[in-house]
Amino acid sequence: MKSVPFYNGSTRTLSTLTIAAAVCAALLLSACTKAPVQEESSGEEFAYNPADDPLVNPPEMYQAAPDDRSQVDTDGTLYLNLDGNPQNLNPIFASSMYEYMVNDLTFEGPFQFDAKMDWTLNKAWVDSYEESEDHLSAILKLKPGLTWQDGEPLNAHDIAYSWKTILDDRVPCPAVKTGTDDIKECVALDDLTVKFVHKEAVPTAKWNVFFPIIPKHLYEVHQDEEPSLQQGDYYSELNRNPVGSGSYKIKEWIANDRIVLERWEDYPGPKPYFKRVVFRLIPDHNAQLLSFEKGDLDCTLLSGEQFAKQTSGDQFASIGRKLLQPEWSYYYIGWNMDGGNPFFNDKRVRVAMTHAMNINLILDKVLYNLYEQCRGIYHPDAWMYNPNVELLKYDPAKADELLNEAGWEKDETDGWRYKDVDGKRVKFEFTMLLPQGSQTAPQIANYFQQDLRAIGVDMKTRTVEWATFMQMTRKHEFQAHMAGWGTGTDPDTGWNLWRTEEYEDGRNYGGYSNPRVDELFELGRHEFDPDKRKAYYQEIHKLVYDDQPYLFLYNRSSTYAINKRIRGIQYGPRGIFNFSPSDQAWWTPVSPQAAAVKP
Amino acid sequence: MSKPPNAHPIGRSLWRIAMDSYLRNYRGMIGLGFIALMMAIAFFSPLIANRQPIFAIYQGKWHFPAVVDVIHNVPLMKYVIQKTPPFSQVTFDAKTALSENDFALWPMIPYGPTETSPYTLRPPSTAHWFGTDQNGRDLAARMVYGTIVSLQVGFVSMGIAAMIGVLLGSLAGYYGGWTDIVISRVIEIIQCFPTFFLILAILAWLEPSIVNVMMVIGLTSWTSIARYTRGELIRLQSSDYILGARALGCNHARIILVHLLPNAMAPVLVTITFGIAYAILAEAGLSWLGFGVQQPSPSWGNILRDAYDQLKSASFMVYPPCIAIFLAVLSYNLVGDALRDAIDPRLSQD
Repeated sequence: MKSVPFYNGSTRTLSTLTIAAAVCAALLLSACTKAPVQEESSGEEFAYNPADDPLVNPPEMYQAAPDDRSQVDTDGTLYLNLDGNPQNLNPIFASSMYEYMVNDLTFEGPFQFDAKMDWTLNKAWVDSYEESEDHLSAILKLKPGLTWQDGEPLNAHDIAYSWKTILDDRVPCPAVKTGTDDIKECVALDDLTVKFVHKEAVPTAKWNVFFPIIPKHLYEVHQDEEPSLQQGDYYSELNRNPVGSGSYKIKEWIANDRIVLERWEDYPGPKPYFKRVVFRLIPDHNAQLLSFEKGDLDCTLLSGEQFAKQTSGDQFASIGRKLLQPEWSYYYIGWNMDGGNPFFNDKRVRVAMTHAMNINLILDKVLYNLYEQCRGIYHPDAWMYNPNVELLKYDPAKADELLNEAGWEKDETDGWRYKDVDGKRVKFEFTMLLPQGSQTAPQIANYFQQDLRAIGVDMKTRTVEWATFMQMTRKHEFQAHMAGWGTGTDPDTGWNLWRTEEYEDGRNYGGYSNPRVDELFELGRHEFDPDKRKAYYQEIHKLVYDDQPYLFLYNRSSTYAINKRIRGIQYGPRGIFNFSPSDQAWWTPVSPQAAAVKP
Repeated sequence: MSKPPNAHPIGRSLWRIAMDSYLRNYRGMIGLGFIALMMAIAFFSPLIANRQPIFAIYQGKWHFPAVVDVIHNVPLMKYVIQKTPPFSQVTFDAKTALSENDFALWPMIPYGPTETSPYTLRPPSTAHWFGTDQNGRDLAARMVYGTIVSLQVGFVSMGIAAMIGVLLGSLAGYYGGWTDIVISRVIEIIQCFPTFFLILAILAWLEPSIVNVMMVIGLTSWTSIARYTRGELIRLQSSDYILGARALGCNHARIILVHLLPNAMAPVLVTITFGIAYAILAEAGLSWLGFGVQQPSPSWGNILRDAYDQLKSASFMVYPPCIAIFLAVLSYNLVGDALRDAIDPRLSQD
């Protein structure tokens, strides 16, 4: 016999269950009365168009500084942002954006990139530079009277010393070693003359002289005891607070907070306009935008979402403007064509993938129309771009046709595509590798997944941490992967991307192979006639696009928020930083309003 | 018939008393009710949110695609029953294919959890109850399927933790001596690490996936279960019935499994309940950081992550995952509290 209290309790259980059941039933019932789905009309559809945004690219942003310096505020401070702490500030150890941003202002060399990423001479340093007839050697003559920021003379011996130090095996600076090690010899013939001897006479050899120059008189002091130039109190302090040659000196570095630079008044070149440059260390994107709106930053990188949707309010408009300019970088989905999977060896399948992707929807919804569809390995603004490339468009019917042609037939029952490969029935099912931390990659993958599903192809995604991602792509352990390349300014930088033999150790991760492309890279590397070089690389551009080893997604753009008082911004293939003069040409006019913006 | 509750003090087992007390705790019942609701939502998710109808008459034939999806939630049923063509084909889009002459009974959320659309970041409306996210996916559908993840994480990870904890705890408590010393020190060492950082550190080495998250949460949160089990076993060792069992010549395994553990389980159960709440929170945190459930699969944590990225432009996205996580964690805590009240005789009001 059951006890009474138990009976009371069980009623309550019953009632709870009844309520739960009733709720479930109600949910289901409400469904019964619902009519079949009607998609909303697309009338009020949000589509950001940067061309209609009055805050984007105002002309005064690009206005060059007047010759008369009295119209320019030369006593101001420029506030820039760093996402993270630099390791140290010695330019030969630089390996990340954080270090380049600071070093570009504190160190200089005889050669410079201009905004278009062309090779130029630093007029403040160089008297003359002559290449030999056979393109194997060059003589650099420096101007007399150059000094380091501590007043010590800067001369040819510093350049020869820097080259020797960078190539010293005991100095751990792999990022700077590449390229520099293609110089066979760099000697100081006298105090003002340096001779460079290249290993090979190629048109790209001139880029190898771009190594950073460090002061010999300071670095050689304890080099015998401490050959790495990194350990020990002396070098730690020197690398943290180096004596440079650029237009700014390091004044203060508070870890995780800020780095303060002050203008070097004895700088021999054109003096920059801001007296101080302060790098604030703010890692989070949302916090960066908030700081910008408070006036604590003059320039910050915006995500697509921020650019399109979070910077249209009055608060932003009262202080900032937006910069949008194309960069020579592109994002892609790379197919593995080395035969490890039965899908992507077939060019028809790769072309079908491109036809299957509704790229315009992705450009609109994920990328807010800030970026252009990618037209191949070279940027449309580049000299090696081939305008005759026919862009593949979104065309699911064509994709369907191509897949049928390639033998991937739709199954009547489940709708996926299958093909008989070596007597086995294989489903068209592949995994795409994504790097962790990207905001856009999973979104693009999600849209693409739905597009592929509609034509019967099953795509899964797998997200891995960046180091693992690099390792897996290098070892060809993927079927497809999504990534991006910053295009070098010289097309020869594609040397280890596209040639057949780079499959082993290079960056030809997908195993692309086209004998004609191999041949053209070889020809282009040794050709000094610019017209012929152009023809070679344009042919490469078309061949690679037609082969579709990648599904070319989009070219990225620079998207920055810039304080409205800032003028004189220049931009190039790599964005608005990392060339000369870049932020050293930025300026603000003298006016009470401009002065009032910044306390 | 009615007699005072204490009329039958003999004949009611500890479990019966505990259950009795639990059923009278309304907060505990609310918690349990919400967990039951979550389970129902998880199991019937294909009927609640689906890109295919529950029932359709298409070209004169009857189809039950969403019902089959629910049946597929039962293991191995995939091989027993399948959808009928054309609903079985992934390429078949029921929304556009059905014509005026066909009849369809749609789920109340007629969208799948990964189904993208061009209608991005729509605020809540009758078409999309919770609005849509940055890929035009229906947030309500994602919340419904995210429930599955939260339940799985809670139960699987605590299942793992309970297995390890009970095993090690009973070994330490029963054998004592060196076994106890070694196991107790291991427990103390693991407890020294802040759990969430330990989980993060381990996950940095592994591939981000829900299975790994469940494993890691399970492998790092067994210590309190082990300690409770150990303590209970030490306490119960000296009971007369254990002495009796020993005298009868029962072996160690039988004493532990049959006589000790069933009586030691009550406080352990409470710990497990709180552990589930912690696991749900941990999963949400990990998914938020990008270590947990991977896009496009939904979980409350990664829905919250999406919402955070759109915080300024689409703040409506934040509320559903936050409220759901809050309610789920609260429910497990209520259940745990009620359970503790029910089985601890010192708190008994009878």
